[in-house]
Amino acid sequence: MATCVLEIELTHEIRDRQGLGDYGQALVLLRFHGRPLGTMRVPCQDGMLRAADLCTAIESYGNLSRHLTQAALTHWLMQHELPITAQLPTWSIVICTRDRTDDLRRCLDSLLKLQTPGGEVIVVDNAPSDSSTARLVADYPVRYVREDRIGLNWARSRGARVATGDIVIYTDDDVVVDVGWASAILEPFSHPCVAAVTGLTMPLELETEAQELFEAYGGFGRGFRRRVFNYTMMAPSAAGIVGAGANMAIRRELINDMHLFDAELDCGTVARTGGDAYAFYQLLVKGYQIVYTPQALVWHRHRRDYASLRKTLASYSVGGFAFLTRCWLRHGDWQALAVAASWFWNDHLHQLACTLGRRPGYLPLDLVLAQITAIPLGPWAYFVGRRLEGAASAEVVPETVLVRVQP
Amino acid sequence: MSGLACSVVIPSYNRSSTLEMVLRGLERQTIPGVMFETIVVLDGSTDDSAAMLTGWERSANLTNLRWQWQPNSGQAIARNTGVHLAQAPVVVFLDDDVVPEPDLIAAHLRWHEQDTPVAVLGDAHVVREQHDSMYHLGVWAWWEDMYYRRARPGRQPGYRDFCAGNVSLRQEDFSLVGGFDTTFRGYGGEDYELGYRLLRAGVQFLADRSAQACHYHRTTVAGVLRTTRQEAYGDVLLGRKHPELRGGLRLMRIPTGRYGLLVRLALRAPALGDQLMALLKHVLPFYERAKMRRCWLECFNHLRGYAYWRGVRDVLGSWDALLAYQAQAAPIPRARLDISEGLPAELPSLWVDGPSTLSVTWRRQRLGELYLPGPIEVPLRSYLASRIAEQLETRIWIMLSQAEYLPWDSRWLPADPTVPHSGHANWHEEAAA
Repeated sequence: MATCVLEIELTHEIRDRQGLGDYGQALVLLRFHGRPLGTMRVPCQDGMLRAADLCTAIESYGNLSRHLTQAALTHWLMQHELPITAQLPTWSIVICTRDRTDDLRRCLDSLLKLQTPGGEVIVVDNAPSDSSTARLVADYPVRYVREDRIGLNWARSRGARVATGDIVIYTDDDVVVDVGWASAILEPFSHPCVAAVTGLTMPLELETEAQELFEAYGGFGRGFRRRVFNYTMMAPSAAGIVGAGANMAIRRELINDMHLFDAELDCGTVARTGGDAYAFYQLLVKGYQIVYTPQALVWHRHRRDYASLRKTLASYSVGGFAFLTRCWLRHGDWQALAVAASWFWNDHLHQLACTLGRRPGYLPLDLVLAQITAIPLGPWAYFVGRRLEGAASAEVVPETVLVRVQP
Repeated sequence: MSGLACSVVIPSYNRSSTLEMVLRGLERQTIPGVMFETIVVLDGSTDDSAAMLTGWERSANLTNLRWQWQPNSGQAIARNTGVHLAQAPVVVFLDDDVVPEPDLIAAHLRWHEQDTPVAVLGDAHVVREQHDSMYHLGVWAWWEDMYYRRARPGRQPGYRDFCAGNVSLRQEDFSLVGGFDTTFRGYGGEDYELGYRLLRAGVQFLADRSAQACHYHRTTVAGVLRTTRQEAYGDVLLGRKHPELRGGLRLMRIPTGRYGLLVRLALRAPALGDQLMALLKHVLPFYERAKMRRCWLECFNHLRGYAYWRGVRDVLGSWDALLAYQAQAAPIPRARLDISEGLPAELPSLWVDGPSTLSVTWRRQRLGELYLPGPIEVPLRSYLASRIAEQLETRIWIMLSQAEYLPWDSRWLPADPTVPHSGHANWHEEAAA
């Protein structure tokens, strides 16, 4: 049965939620003065989520209730505080899209509600098959740029090159952003060592089994505590844990100077994913910090059908191992081998054992096998990517830029 | 005397190439060259610095350049000599590898216009290179973090904010507190010590992030181990001169675990320790080449920790002398904080340079104590609020329900506050697991 996704602000009165149709349960994101504190699953009955059930659930979720009491106390202690209005840097939101106007429209609608001044929105249309994206975008106060070379990383680099803000905030076309998203993701950049910031990505809907399974597999969630990453506490080649490309911000100078987005990785290449992890890797090895802040919240629509889910999970293996091969062979980073081994052991083999042993929350066998069988494609994708890149750099593709600025 | 607004004092030791870059930086200042003078003190330099300076004097690119050579006697004496030669009311100290940005002197002078006792602390950003070593990345991150924290609004200044690489103050205040203490002969410590005396004399510290310079930090690992050994010497002297500062010094706490063994090695068997560390030093390049960053860091921290405690032994002589030194520490300072109305607008003044204890009360009833390790995090208020919420949570709960004074939505209070939340028990179990 499907799960409905709700958010509840704890400072408001908690009422019964009606009209939930035939959802069997709800995934509830709890917020306290807008700050995400945690999620929990609460059963629904007859299309209704009872306030009493919700309160009991909050009490019984150990970690969450402690988090909540502390948040309430901190808030009370700071009650006389004047809000610190920090000077935020200028920003450019870059959305890379390709023939997905329905998703893009929802994303742009949510971006209109952002309340952070000093920025612009850029839509990078990646090798479109028709002009539908261009026509949709004409109705919104955003810049439109076309990138004809197929590949998410080409589009990301192009976005950074035309951006005018100091910080480039990347998101995908299949997300809906929270009102305070941009401010929250910009705030950590006041520290000079912070090169990138990632945020919390929640599921937009859990309508199908595939979406549930993706969330069960780990989704994009990285917890509800702020974390700071740098090479003294983690292997840079484990950069995948830092966050994902659907919700990240990077200093523009660094993207352009360090060529962070490598054309051999991510969507549109044989490697399929891994472009964001490789960008984080390059920043980490240069001694920069990456901050994960759960306050920067977006809602991501996971793939609905099962076949796409299988493909997505397999592509994580391909991209991840292509990325690790690259760290090892191009950067001479031997730790990447250890990271690869531990990923295989702790993740893939562990999942396989759970599935075979039918432990609670196990993934279907075909999904696990899809991931494991895709592993050898990773190193292969690395070598193919290198050859293709050599060929591509020989022929220079003319850049067509179509920029329209609306106030 | 003249219309000079400030004197730039640069002590230098055998670094003619970066010294020349500093002079070029001074040539490019936005304020006219006649408004400031440059005084270079060569502290026993044996390279071509003197010849280079003579050439500069002759070409007269930099108005008012003067220099003096003296036998090597340490940065403290060299800087005092420089100030002695200075003729302007304001002194800007620069290091011989700190290249000023064009706006630097103007930025410093802005604060000295209203003739109040201030010291302006400027940034000296460590210059990053294409292929930085692990050591350089660490140094860069440390300094950037330090400048960032130092300049955050609401921060109480500490004596360790005063770094003589890029700082300005009135000559009057400098002389009033007696200048740099010349007993500091080695590397480091003398600027902190002066900073402490300035703070006590009521000089205000202002961290201005627009007073920028580039720090061409060219030290190697071997070099930094040598200077760390001398830093320990500076720490011991600082604690001898100002016993009240002892509590915040690194040598007051012997670490536990492996680092504790390192301390014992340095103080009790230095001959063996030196041999071992010489071996360990050869491992570093291997880790660096294999990109084993955490191993490198671990190894480097051991070497550096050993160098520090070896320096302590150089001055104090023995393990027993260290224990005796530690025994004379002043007790950890205490402050009180009443939170019955939330965090008060005026916080008690806390010791920013070392550990202190904060006893938290609720209308004169004691709630508990917080141990605050120095240096204190900023912004201080939110740091304190989250520490108090984390540590004294249950007790505040009890107070609030006894007072029948529930200042915020009470829905999430446990029914009986003396029984911990069902959640808490779970949480501890999770933590234990």
